Amino acid sequence: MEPEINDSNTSSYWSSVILASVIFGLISFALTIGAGYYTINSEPTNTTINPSTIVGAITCLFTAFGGMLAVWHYTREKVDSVVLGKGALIGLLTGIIIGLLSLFLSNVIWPLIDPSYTDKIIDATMRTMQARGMSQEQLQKMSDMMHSGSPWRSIGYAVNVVIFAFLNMITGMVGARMFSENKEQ
Amino acid sequence: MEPSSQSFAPSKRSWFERNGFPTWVVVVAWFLGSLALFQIGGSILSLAFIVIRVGHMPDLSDMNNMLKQNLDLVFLGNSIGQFIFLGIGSWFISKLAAPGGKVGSFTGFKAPKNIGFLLILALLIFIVIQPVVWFLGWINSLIPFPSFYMNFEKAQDSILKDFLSGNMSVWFVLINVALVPAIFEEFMYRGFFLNILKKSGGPTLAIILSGIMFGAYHIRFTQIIPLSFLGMLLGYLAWRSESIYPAMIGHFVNNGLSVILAAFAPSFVFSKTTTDNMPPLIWIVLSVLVTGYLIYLFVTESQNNAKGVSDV
Repeated sequence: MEPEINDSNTSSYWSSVILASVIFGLISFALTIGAGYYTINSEPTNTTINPSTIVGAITCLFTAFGGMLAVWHYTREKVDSVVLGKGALIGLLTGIIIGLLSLFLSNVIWPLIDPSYTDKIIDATMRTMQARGMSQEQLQKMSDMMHSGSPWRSIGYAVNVVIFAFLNMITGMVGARMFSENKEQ
Repeated sequence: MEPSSQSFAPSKRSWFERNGFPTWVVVVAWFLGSLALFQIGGSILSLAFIVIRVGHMPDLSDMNNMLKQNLDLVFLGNSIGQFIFLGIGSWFISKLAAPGGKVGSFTGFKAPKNIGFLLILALLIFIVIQPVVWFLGWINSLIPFPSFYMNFEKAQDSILKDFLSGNMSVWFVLINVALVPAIFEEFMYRGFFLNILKKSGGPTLAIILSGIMFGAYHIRFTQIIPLSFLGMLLGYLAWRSESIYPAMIGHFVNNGLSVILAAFAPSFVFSKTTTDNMPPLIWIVLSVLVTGYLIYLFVTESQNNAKGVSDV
């Protein structure tokens, strides 16, 4: 039978969550903006996998480790061991904050620094779609939708936050298992 | 006597409890996770079936036409997606949430002694309640939604309408639209969500939350009020009877009625709910009264059964 783990320690995990969220949120923002400028300055391509999509995937995977970092910091600073469920909770909260912070920086703060950024990204996306053979009518529809700030974009952002939350929840659980075991050893 | 909100001995704790998982984390994670897996997995399955049928990758830019030409495969992918992600997935999660890992008793797969009578009552309740559901749909239609969202729902409606009114066998439609959701959605919402929420928050909160989640899961916000109401009613029947079967029957009857009516009275089913065709007031009043009486009978019967429940 699996041994029962008591989660008797109630030390606050928020400092660990916020620390990991800020670090990974900034990294995610930097990679997103970097990939954005790469897309703007590169020639349009008709391939699905290009450096920009690879950077996007790497950002997503890399940022998932925020939950693990938060759990590691929590076990290092506050408690000896973390139960799996608390690892999931810490990871989930870290993922949500990373997603929101990254969105805020890239969609609210960065357009203040470079006001033409959003238009350049839309133009670059249109060029890529044109290179992939999208018809003029479809391009026009897509352009109108992107320039009008379609609410679908907000739904896309919400999905991003959910994905970040999930991935970090998983690494938070992995972290709880790894770092608690290390303490026992 | 009310069914207990805490039916399990404290010594038999679930895997989630032993490992310190907060209930809300499990509920939120599985609600969003299963939704995403089902939507993505079901779409991939449908697309794979279409590729097999047409022999090449279809033009994704003409998505609507592609879906309309292969509605049978779209719904087949949807049903298999429900089986895999809502059924098997929820079984696995329930195993972790059930005290002692006993999924059957945790999710309500048990039959009270007079289950037959309870099933008949559930069947009648979901026939008689239709005017109330219609009325709630009308109220929902008064809430304004942005045009981009209405276009999205219109596309969904059009696909469903084509499926219900197409020339496919009524049995095929009935299986995909009524039977499959009645089993797997009930297993997930009234089996898993209702019971895990009941353990930590009590029956009232569990019925309300699982009902709202059921409404939101359909991603049809112009119908979220009647769908949530139906979810809450199904949850109430499952809680009162301590069995998932009446909810399954109720769900099947509710969806099945749409299929049958679409086959024999399509204009009635597809008429849009507007201020002009709100159900007659007398229907609503009669529906409330008769449904109330049937629910009273259901509760009385369930209380009579509370003393002797046999596992199936």
